[in-house]
Amino acid sequence: MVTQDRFDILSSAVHIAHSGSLSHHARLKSLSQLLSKTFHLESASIYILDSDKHCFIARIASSGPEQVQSCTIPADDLVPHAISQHATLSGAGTFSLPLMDSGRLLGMIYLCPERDVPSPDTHDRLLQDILKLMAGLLRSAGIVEESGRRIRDLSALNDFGFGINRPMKAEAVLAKTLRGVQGNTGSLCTLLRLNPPAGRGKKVYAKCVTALKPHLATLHELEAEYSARVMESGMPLLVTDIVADPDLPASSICVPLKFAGNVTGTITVFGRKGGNGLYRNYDEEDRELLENMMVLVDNALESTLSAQRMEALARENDKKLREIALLYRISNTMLSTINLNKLIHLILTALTAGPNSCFERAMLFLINERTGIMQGMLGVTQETAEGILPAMEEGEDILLSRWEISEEQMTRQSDSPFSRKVRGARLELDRSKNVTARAVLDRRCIHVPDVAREKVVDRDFTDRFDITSFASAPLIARGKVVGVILVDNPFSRKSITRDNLRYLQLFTNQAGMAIENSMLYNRIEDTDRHLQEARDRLLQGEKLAMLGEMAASIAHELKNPLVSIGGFARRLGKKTAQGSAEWKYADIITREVERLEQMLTDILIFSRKKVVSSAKCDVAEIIEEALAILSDQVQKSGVAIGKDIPAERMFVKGDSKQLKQVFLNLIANSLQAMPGGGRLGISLEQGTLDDAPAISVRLADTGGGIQLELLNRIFDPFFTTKDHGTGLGLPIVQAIVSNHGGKLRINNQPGVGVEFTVLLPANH
Amino acid sequence: MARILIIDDEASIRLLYSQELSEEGHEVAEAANAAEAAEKLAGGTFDLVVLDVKLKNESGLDLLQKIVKERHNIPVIICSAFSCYKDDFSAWLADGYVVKSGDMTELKEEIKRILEKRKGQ
Repeated sequence: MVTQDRFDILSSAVHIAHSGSLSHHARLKSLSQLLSKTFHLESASIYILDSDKHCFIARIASSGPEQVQSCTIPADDLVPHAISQHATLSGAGTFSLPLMDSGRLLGMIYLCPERDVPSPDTHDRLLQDILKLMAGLLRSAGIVEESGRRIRDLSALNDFGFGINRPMKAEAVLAKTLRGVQGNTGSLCTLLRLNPPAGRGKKVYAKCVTALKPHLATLHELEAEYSARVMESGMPLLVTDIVADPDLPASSICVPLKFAGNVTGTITVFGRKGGNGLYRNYDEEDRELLENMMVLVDNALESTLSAQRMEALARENDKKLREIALLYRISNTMLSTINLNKLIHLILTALTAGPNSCFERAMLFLINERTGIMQGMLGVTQETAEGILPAMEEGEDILLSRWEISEEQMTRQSDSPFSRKVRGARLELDRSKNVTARAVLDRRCIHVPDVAREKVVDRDFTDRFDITSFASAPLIARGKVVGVILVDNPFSRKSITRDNLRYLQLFTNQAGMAIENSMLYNRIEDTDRHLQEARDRLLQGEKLAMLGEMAASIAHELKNPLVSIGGFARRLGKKTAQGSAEWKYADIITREVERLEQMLTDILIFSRKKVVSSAKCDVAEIIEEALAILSDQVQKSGVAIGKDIPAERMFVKGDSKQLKQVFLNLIANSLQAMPGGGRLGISLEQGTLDDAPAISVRLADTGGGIQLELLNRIFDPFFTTKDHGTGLGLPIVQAIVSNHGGKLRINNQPGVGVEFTVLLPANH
Repeated sequence: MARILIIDDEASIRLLYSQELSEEGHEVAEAANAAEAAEKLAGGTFDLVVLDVKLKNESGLDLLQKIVKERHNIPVIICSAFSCYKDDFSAWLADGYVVKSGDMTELKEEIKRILEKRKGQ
């Protein structure tokens, strides 16, 4: 080869090596072709050594369509040889030469001379120069690839970080992580494992290329092993040359996934696809990239979970606020009324139609401990409760807000068909027959999620009301269960939640307090009324006593003149001829004076206060004496006397004359009430008075009773309906009976008759 | 027939009693107060005294005690407008108790009963 030719060849080799328009691989291929042509070679193949110098990973041949072919050829035997000898004869004329740059072995070149052509001199300057150019190209290709990879990694990290550092759920972060790792690390199979702290089972998410799917089970096994090691050490793991199986990726990286300083999982990648389309082992840089990615994931997860926690907290706060507002409102409402009926309507309405409307129906049963029955009182449905309790308005003062229910609304509720049906319902207060009774007897909320599976239930009741699931809560007031509220959702059949139950419980507690208030208030009112009545009675008593004293003194003053008038009128009558006009006048005076005298006697009996004489009196005897005195009148009136007096003698302590007066007055009254005849029943029996043994005398007539408008006045002194009455008969009776520590009762049946019962303390 | 002393502060009552009792055949004397009564009792003998419980400023019951103490054997009938004095201990000293009335029958019968009782002793 002439020098000029050699110079031209070297010049074109230098030209190729520095051609900026071609890739490194294309330049190497062109150089190998130039080499083949110059030295009459059949082929020249460059084998590129990987960075670890373990194996040749790619081949660039002078012939063939492809620029680069990937390969895996162990370099262990060749490399030392190549470094020491610079050239190796491989038989059949072929030989290999090392490609070295600044003492670093970067690859080998195999030269295969054409048939019958002698091998070139390995020490040929031109050959050596071209090989140097090739080594330089290999080196710069490596540097370019290295920097390209770093740039790719950085931009991948950036994209990845950008992708996951956005507000989203933790699940979405994990999904993006899986995708991002798979895309940016050249992983063929990525497995993400989470170990939840509460031991709620492990979760492994997988992403895998289709070609590897048949081997997924094996990969899972490997992942489990690596993950366990990483979880224990907390350090990342890089594994190369996993198995001999050529179908499986040769290397893997497993990196811990940390959250708030704790290892909560791992991510494992298998295989690596290089940027040049070649398969390569993972190296430390890949590990670093994955570790950096996981730091981003940790941050993203942390901020996501914080955001979730914040959101949950805000939701909880909002819920609490609404609940407190509602409770405030309920308690305002309940405390603003002491009307028990209204309270009950509000309670059931709020349970079915409040802003937290939990239930579709609510029923109230009141307890009757004596009969052991829970009696239905009121039923409210969402329909009858609708529109009564408006939601709180914006800006409304929570402290003043309350609900109101009108009389018409209450009537509409209690007249509804459902409420009528509830009123017809009775439940037994027996825990062995009825689960609702437990709410009362155990004083707690009862939830029956499935009536069909509950053994102790009143089937008749649940069938009639179509109840399949319900809850009931007791209403406790003044330490006593006064009623029970039963709620259910028969239309939507939605189940009753824990929150619903909590609401029911809170509500019934409030309602119980309100009922308690109402009961206390009613008691105060009752007591007040009793006091008022007692005061009135005292006043009346004082008035009567004063009246009595006045009457007594007037009577005294009147008695003497009357006696004179009466006495002299009689004398006149005796001195005039019987039947004459004068005699008649004197007779009238006499009779009128007799009447006045009787009146004075009555007044004086009435005004007398104390029982002067106190002896053991036989009541039957006294009655008989009174009847004997009135026998003439009884006969004249045509009234039949029916006596029911037992043979056993009954005694009271008192003044027999005064007691006789009692029966005289009562019997005389009855006779006067029956001018056209009738029946007077007199019965004597044992009774009780203020829980002490007493004697009871009942006098029942058929005189048509007392007109209701007069009933209140019959004990007023001087009140009379008779032409010749003094109006003191019944007041005297009452005064005597009460002076004896007894009681007088009236059972008036207008149109039929009246029955007086005299109750006197018994004396044995 | 008997000598009867009527002690009453009301003149018309005294007149009524004395006329009625005179017609019955009794010899009747009158006294309006305790002093007059004492004078009459000292001045003569009486078979019976009819005494009102309420004399103007004096108590008939006090006078009754005096009469019973000083003249043991004269029976006294208390004749009061009202029955309430019946229960007074002092009234038990009297031999009879009659509620005043325009109808004199009760008083006359009481006088008769007491006089007959006396006669029998």
